[in-house]
Amino acid sequence: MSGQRGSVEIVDVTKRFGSMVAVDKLSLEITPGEFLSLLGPSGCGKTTTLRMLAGFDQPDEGFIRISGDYVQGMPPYKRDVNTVFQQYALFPHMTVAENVAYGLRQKRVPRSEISGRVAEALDMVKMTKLASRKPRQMSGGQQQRVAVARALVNRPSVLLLDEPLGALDRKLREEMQIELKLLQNQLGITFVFVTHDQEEAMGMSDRIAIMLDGHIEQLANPESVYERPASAFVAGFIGRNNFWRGISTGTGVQASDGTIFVSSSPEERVAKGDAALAAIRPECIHLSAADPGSTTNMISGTVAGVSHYGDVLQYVIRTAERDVISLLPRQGALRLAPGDSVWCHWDASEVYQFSADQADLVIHDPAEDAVTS
Amino acid sequence: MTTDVPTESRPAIEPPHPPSAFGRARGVAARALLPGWSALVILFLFTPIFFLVAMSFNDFKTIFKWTKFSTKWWGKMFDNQTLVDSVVTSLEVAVISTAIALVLGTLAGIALARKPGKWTVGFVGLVLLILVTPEIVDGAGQLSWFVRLGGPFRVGLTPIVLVHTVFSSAVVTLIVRARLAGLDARLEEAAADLFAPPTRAFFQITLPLVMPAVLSGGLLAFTLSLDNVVATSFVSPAGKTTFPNYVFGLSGGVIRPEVASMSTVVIGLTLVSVMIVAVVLRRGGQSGTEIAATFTGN
Repeated sequence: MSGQRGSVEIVDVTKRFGSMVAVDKLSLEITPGEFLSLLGPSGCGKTTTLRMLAGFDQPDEGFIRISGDYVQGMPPYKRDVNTVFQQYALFPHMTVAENVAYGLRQKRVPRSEISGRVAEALDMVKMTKLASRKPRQMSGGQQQRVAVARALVNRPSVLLLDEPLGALDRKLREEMQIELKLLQNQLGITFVFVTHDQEEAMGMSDRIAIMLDGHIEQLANPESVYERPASAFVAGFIGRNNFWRGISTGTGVQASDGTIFVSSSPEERVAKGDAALAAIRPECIHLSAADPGSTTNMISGTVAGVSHYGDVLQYVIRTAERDVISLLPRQGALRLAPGDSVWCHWDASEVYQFSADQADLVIHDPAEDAVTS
Repeated sequence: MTTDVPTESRPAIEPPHPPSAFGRARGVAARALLPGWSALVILFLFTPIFFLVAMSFNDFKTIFKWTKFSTKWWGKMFDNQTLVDSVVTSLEVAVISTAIALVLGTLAGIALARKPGKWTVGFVGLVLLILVTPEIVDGAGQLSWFVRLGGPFRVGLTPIVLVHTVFSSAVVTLIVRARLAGLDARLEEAAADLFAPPTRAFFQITLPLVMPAVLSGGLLAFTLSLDNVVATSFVSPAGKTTFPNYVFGLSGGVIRPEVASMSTVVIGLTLVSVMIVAVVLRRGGQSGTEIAATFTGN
């Protein structure tokens, strides 16, 4: 399996820049034809990992195999992978067709074959009409398509995409997500997709590697990372979550504001009596105007704000220590006005517990935000 | 969090006042004065040149007194062998020193932009030092150094070319560096990603992209060489005089209209080279603004 064309194997790879460890003993196996996303906040090492696959950076430790071949010290121009760059990096002095043909020309593909393959690639991204344009005469979305064609025309074993949709507006981004996924299905090429946008990763990937501080927090399919987050960080990064600090009770968490969380599947990794976090997703928080009469898995508060997002309603409920977010499908949702008393409750099956190690990553105090930029 | 943040009260936008009579008058005056002022500035800058060109059509034997129109000096300028030799020397020096400066400066500029590190600070400092050193110091230093070296450094074009190459290289270095620093370094990575080994990536991607800077740097180097007097006068060996040094040597005495004619020819040459560069840049798909930016080294 790991020797097949399009497979990627990253084993114990470490990359340092000066004293900064960008990638820390990372291991990852990608199967041929897979759409894998490297997802994480800026500085998590996802782009460095991609650059090591492309050959722009070399690992300090560990090794990488692409299609079964060790690629230590192999320069980018000898690797059977191609990259779609952030901001596209199209050659400004060449036309669209010349840009797309560039890789084939370097490989000394016969001239007669080049024109056919360029036409085919441009057709694939619906850019045939603009073949003689220069990059600066095109919109961001059009440049993006050309960048995809320029990489795919070479039929690489692995396509690397470095936040390719980041510069596009929302609507265009959603369109391109669908198209990229279709292209990948159709071509069967391995895609390694770097993004910080969890919706993008969730929408397109077969598997997502969620990265933090140079390592992988969780590697799983979109459904699993959403439903069974491996850490508080993942639970906070994928989708949204309401977090409470507290103490593990063995069957759940007793929060600092007195709320008692009882879980139907207690987390064994957090020992009873240890500091813990409880988390409930906004869409799992139900509201009632009357006291549900339970002492666990509920908290009372008042409505502080209502927002309408088309198909869903978002309530912000102010409770004793914190604001709780509740997302309800618009149809049949309880209609409340700011100031109304309300009870939030949830099912035991929706209670997540995590160790408190990552509490500061997921519970933000705006006053303590590090100034990084 | 979406909580009930009190909406800040904004100051009401004041309705625009109709301009006062004084304000209107000022507007009219400004519109009338600006073109006039611009014309004055242009006159100030170009009158001397027009004057020189005009004097090449003077009948009298100096450029200091106008008598009547004549083209006789245009015919006579090629009879003055010293004058012709000086122009040839100037052009030879300018072409050779510019060619060397383009190679050295382009490589240095690319290195500065693409391999930054601690060395760049010191190197840029050295380059700037070349440009800010008073030419007279430069000239004296070069002369004493060439005298020490002796031999080929005291004869022919060599000493003049070397002096010009030093400052021309500095100019080209800074212009190429500025251009490349403004270009996405990922373009070169993209070339590597598309199977181009470093040398090919250099000739197919990097070099075409810095070409506008190379051309404008070359143009600047060429003109700087063409009108250099001070440093040149120090190192010029016996029997080799550049055009500006020849003219400068005359300035104490009589300057005949044939010098004005030859100066007009040199001005024409300079304009032609500017136009050639502009045409090349236009062919390369640059807009007028980009070409203007290139000439100013941006």
